[in-house]
Amino acid sequence: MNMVDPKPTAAIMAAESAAMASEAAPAEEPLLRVNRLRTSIATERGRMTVVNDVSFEVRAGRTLCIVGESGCGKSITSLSVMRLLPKPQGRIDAGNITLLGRDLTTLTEHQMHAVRGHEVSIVFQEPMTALNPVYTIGDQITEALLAHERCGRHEARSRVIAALREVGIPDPERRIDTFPHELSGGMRQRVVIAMALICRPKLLIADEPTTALDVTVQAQILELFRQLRDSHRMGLMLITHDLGVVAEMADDVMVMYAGRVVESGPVASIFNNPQHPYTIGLLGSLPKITERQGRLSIIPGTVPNLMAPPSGCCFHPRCPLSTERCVADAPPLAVVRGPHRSACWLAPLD
Amino acid sequence: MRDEAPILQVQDLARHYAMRGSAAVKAVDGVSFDIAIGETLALVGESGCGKSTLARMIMALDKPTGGKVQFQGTDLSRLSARHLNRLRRKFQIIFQDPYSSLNPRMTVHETLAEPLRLHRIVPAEAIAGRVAKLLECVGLTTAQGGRYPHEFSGGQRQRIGIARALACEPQLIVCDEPVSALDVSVRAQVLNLLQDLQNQFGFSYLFISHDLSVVRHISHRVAVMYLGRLVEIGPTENVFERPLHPYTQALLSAIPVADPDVPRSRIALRGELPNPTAQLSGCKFAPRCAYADGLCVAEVPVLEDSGGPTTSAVACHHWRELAVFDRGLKQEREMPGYMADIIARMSPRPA
Repeated sequence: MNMVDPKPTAAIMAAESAAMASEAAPAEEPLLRVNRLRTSIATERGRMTVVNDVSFEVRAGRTLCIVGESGCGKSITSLSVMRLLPKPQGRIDAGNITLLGRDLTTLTEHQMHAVRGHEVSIVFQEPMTALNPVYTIGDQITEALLAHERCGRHEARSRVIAALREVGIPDPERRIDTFPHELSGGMRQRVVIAMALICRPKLLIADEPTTALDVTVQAQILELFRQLRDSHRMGLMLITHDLGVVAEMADDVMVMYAGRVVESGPVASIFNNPQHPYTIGLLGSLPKITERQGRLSIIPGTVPNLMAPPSGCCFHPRCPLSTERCVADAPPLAVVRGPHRSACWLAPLD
Repeated sequence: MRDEAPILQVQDLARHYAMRGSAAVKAVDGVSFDIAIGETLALVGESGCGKSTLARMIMALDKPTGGKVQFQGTDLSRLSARHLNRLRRKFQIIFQDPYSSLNPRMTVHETLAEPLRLHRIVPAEAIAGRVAKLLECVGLTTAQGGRYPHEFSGGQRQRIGIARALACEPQLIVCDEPVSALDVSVRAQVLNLLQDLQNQFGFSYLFISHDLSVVRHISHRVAVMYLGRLVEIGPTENVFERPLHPYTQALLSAIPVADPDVPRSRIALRGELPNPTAQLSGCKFAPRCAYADGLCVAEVPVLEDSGGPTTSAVACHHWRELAVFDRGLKQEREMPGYMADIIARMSPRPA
């Protein structure tokens, strides 16, 4: 993943091009390039910037995981890409979202209809809210198909059955005529995924897709994502708070805090050599599956109120390394090593 | 702690729901275990396995159709309503969603004062002082007691839920998914609080969770439930390091581990949880089990002590023949020094 730097300096640009040249990186264009996105939400007490200066890329056949805690802006980032921000409160204030070479921020709502489901699809946490309870699942997937493609009734039905089979629904010829309430949570999520994928989008955004599911079902759904990503070279943007899921799925990771990207890079270097105190705190607060510890490490304090964010680095009130500079100035997301970037004045930390 | 009589004994407990036109749903079907004083027993299993029904019966919120729940040797189903209500203060529950379990029209102070008054735990003039003490116990300030639930974050609300359970000076607290709705960093704070309180007051926990890494962290023993029955129960280390039942093995293999270098050795389960009305003879896990044979379909396996170095009990006809399951978690590397240092500086140990 090559982030576009919020404040590019000559040194960083040079480091980046050196990193690009040394990497055996694919030369092809990324599917999605988000550049300096800023999104705000209107509240009773005024406008609140919930995504601030966020840049990232997703390439074909790769998985980008966006991690962070409630309110860090990860879901609003995905809704911005889909242009599905709550109306009229949500607004993209700045930045570009380039999908397959086209800037989505400039499209009309009508043009976006042709993009959603066709070029990019989204799967949410709760499958029941994404399904209409009074239509059969077959009707709903067919509707998604016919929104983008012309095909006859028989062909549509056989394609829907094939899609249900692909996501691992047993006996799809019979299940196609069932209603959502007749299915288990895991099966419903598979239906939602089948619906999202029926037109073979290049990019799939999955926002906490397995959070409501049991672990064995979660394992099946993640395996399905992996297969689809590999067989169709689909780009996957996976939003989660579960670092276990990140370790399992990601090629690249982006950590968000208070609406900003605080760290990004390849999954192995994020986990083995994290370069932002917040990421380190998150990794430290996980209970270990391998042993029973006495006490868990914590991150002191709470996430900042975005209506009145702290000065300088937004993590400084909770950071044990905080200096005067951190209180005064916000650090840019800058290269630490190769593709690994951190928004911390003290990086590299090791 | 094993010398004393257990705080809770669950014996052959069952809850069958009669269904019109089909066979009864056996939500809980012959479950037995006990919890020692000061012990944390975790109950794990996937949605629909009956863990919440079991918790409701232990809390005397639902009547068993078979078996009994004994709290400090007293059979709860034999108590009169008055006696039961008097005993209730000794077993309390903390719910997953603290917001829906707190009255939005009551200040935190009122929420905490109510059980104190109801159970006459302290004289009226001492209530304010006790509420302040409860708030302090869970890391909230007296000033925060004047606020309403909506003014708090999720983690703080869960602290209020914990304080309310503490108000009654309980001996057993049932925690029903207490940290599932919380963010990672807040979750760690609440788990630490639960452990600190247990060390301080010595009560027992029945800890219901689907998050196995949390269970590993907090519990002394683990009971694994599948379709209304216990399939395995034993000390946490044994269950995690040498799971004996094929279902426990599959469950453990499904946990995503927060380390990209841990090998993924996943046991895929066939099919889904069967319809609860389905009549399954024999082992309920047999239709999804890779090792199932004629015996499994014909005969219900009973929990038997595994003996030897592992003292788990397992309900499987074939556990002796199964290969040793190793999740490959033991090869965890040392954390780099700079990370350990920053983590230590974030959470200084309490004096």
